[in-house]
Amino acid sequence: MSGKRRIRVIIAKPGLDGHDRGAKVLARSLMERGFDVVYTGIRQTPDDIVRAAIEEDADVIGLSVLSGAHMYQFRRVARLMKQNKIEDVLLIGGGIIPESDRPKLARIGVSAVFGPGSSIDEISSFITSRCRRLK
Amino acid sequence: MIERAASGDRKALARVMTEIELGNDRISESLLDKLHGSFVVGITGFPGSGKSTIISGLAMELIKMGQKVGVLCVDPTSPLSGGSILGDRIRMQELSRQTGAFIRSVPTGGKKGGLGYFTVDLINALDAAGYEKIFIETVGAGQDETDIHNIADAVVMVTVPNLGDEVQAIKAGIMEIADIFVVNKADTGPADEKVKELLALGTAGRMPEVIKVVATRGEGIAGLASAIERRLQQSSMSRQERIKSRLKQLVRYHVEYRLDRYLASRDFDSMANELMSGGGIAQIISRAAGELAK
Ligand SMILES: Nc1nc2c(ncn2[C@@H]2O[C@H](COP(=O)(O)OP(=O)(O)O)[C@@H](O)[C@H]2O)c(=O)[nH]1
Ligand SMILES: [Mg+2]
Repeated sequence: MSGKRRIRVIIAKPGLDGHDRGAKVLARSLMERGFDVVYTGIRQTPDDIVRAAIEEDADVIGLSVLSGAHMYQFRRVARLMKQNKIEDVLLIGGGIIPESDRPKLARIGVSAVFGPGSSIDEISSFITSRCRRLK
Repeated sequence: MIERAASGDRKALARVMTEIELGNDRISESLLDKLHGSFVVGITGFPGSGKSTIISGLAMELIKMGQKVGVLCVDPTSPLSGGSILGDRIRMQELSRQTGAFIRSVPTGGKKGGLGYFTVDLINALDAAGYEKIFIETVGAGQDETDIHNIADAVVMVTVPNLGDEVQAIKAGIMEIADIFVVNKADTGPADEKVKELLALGTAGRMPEVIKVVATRGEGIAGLASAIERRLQQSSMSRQERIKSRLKQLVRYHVEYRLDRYLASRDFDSMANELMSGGGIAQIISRAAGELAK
């Protein structure tokens, strides 16, 4: 008889800006789609985020970035994921990220970027289709 | 995987916990000969009363003394979607950076009683990995939170000033509710009155221990930590007895898990028909028991 672990998503807000309304709305919407959502709050360092992902054995890390420092944040998180051998965790981004940066983000391992216009259906089906397990 | 978890590999411990949550009984069983008999401390109280903030403060105290501390934060699974929001880490930022800490969020998975179906196995995983004190934050939904009492070696109930109803609710028997009471957010209202109210519920020889705390400023946390420690040391249970009583609950939880899933998958009409046509309660239970063990 097998248990029912849900896809576990970490939503984190790296950087110094203190607005997390968008991240909270996303967390709630994903919960309503049946995900277990670990919300870690604002002002998270890349080390905090990756450590939380390890301890929670997360399937997905979603970073919400508004500050314009997204390249730095994503690079650090992606590097720490490699160092800790958790590159199989799906890394996605949200927030305000210029189109021109997306190819660079894709190269460092960010699987998708969801802008303010993205629908929750889009995000939720992307996660479900790309998640490493529990499909 | 378990050996690596016990040698301090964070990722291995996390994976062991995932296997537990997936219902891998073999993993749960393989922990049993590696238990140290760690102390389990339950923290209950309404959502927003400050449980996460208090645990963070308490755990930091212990970590400063060189102990390893595990934390399980239980949050409700939505009955509608089956998902959950696990938001307790927000109040544990400093703690979550400590080498001696391991924090894991736990959805109830629909279990009633304030904890998740696999909470005991998760305690065992932390115990086997050498975490000496294990804090459990319950859902905090109120009076039907009975699970924690059977599992924890000490239970702390968190209340706040300006909240009258719960005192009414616990009049039934204050000493059954918790070993220690905390009046948190003492900065926000008449905390001394609340302390008096709680003390007034005690009877001669059975006085509750009540501690005033401002968790966000760390006030009263050291006092609470020593009250918990005293309580744990007073317990007459040996290490072996503690482990045994925990394993008894493990069996209970596994039965409950299987039973809940079995009943959810049953067609009640046919069950009712069977009963009414003389099927017999014992026969139905005996068949169910056979299914449960599969
Ligand atoms: N004023 C005040 N606020 C507090 C205190 N302790 C916790 N809080 C705040 O109360 C809110 C809920 O705290 P939290 O620890 O998440 O409560 P939980 O839901 O019981 O885990 C947070 O915003 C905390 O910062 C306190 O002693 N005083
Ligand atoms: Mg909490």
